[in-house]
Amino acid sequence: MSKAAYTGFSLTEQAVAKCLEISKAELDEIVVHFDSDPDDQWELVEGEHFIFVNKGLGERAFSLRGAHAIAEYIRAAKPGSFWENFLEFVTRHKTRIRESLVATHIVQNSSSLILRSKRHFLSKPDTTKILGTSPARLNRSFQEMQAASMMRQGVDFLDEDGKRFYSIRGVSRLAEDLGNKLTSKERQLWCQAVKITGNKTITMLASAEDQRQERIKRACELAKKRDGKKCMITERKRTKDDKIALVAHHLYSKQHYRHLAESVDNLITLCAEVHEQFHGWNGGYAKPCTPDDLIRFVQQVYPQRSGQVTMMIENAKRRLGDQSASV
Amino acid sequence: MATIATDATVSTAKLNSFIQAELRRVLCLQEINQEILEEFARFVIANHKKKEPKPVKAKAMKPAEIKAAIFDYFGVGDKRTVTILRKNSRFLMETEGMDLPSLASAEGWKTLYREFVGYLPGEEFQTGYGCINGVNIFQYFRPWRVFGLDPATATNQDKKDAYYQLSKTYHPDNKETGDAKIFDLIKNMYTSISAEA
Repeated sequence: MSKAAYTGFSLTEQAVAKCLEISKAELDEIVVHFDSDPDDQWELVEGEHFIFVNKGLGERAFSLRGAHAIAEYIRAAKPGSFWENFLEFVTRHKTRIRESLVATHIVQNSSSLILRSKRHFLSKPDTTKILGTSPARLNRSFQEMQAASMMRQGVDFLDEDGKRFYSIRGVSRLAEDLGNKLTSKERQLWCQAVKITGNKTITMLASAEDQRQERIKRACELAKKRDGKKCMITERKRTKDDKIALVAHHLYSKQHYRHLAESVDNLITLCAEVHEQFHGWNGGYAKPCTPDDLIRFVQQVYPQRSGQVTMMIENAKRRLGDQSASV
Repeated sequence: MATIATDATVSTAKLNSFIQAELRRVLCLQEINQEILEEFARFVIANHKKKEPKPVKAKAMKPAEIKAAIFDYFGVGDKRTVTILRKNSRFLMETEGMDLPSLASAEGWKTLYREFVGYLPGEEFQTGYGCINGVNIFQYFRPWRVFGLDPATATNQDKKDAYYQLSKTYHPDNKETGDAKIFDLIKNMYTSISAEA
């Protein structure tokens, strides 16, 4: 099986059994039960909840959703003794295990988080993954909420650069709708769990993202100071007679090389005009860019400054190290 | 613009709500021809003396009822305090980034009710500044009703036409009836109902 096929199925059978505090034999028994009746409300879908590591031996690896499905099944089908229930009531231990499975899944699928007008938004692919549904089912849910006047542009969703994003409120509304309407019991419970744990997890992510933006802003200020507050290509400086705007440009684009976004070495000061010109030349702000792109741009458009600028960018490249495997 | 000759008594006569509603319907039609105008004239003859229905005074909700409806909406359990509501996951997700009203005042709870639950009694049909088709657009997000459309049947062209009609009145370029605040909300409603999934 290819490496890519394993992505998302990181839990071995032993890990699932340990995490859910059951024996390996009990796990096998539950999995057999899931597979035995295709018409009941419990199902484990290959490629979604698990993959076969060795089909001949029936050995599986589970996704977080697969582990969550088993946890929900144990809760529903195997009610514990009074004492166990009392302990669960006091400690909420097993509930926490279920919630942490959902929280981890949300963290793994929130790389698109953006802040717009005080609200945090997630891309449609991330929302689809977080809610454990298909794009087509999410579309249907969106249309139903739209018809019920529950999807407001800028509040519940927004479209940016031709891409759809959903706000935390939008995600909550979609989770509410899907949690009530999905046919599979496990999927319903998953969406309900997203509603419960979602806020805590997304707020945590949002706060980390806000801090990151703050750090990027500080790095930009430092880069401008380092470059003597002048455009490194045109050498123009902001003066009272020439009030140009200066921007700190990311040599490796910040959306595509997130790990370098806060590094001052990855920044170069340009005037807004040249910055816009470069991104236009490169095919738009949404396209990834590298230091080599900027070198080629300078060679073509500002050949008179090509030597000095190339040397400066090459130095920065060396400091940042090889990034060929980062995208 | 051509005007219809009228004498003083006719020009000051007040149109009743039946005629005003029919007038709004006719204005939304894509094409107005003689047949439609004749039909409208007959409607006026038949209804101009019709008595206005007595306004049914809606029973106001008690503050406790408003609070209970909000707790229900957010699925708050038996313990219903503001502190618990503020910690409720769904409440936190749905109000993220929102300027929350003060929950120490009845007005704050009413704002939440309008935003999340529905129409407060007596506010289903409002008139005055910011009210379109009975909806106060500063208080309620009800784009389909404001645009006079049925979400089940409205086509993209219907949405465009309704937006165009409202824009003619509220676009800031209209020196007489234009209003930037109202127009911004209408534009937001249009983008909300016309967005593809």
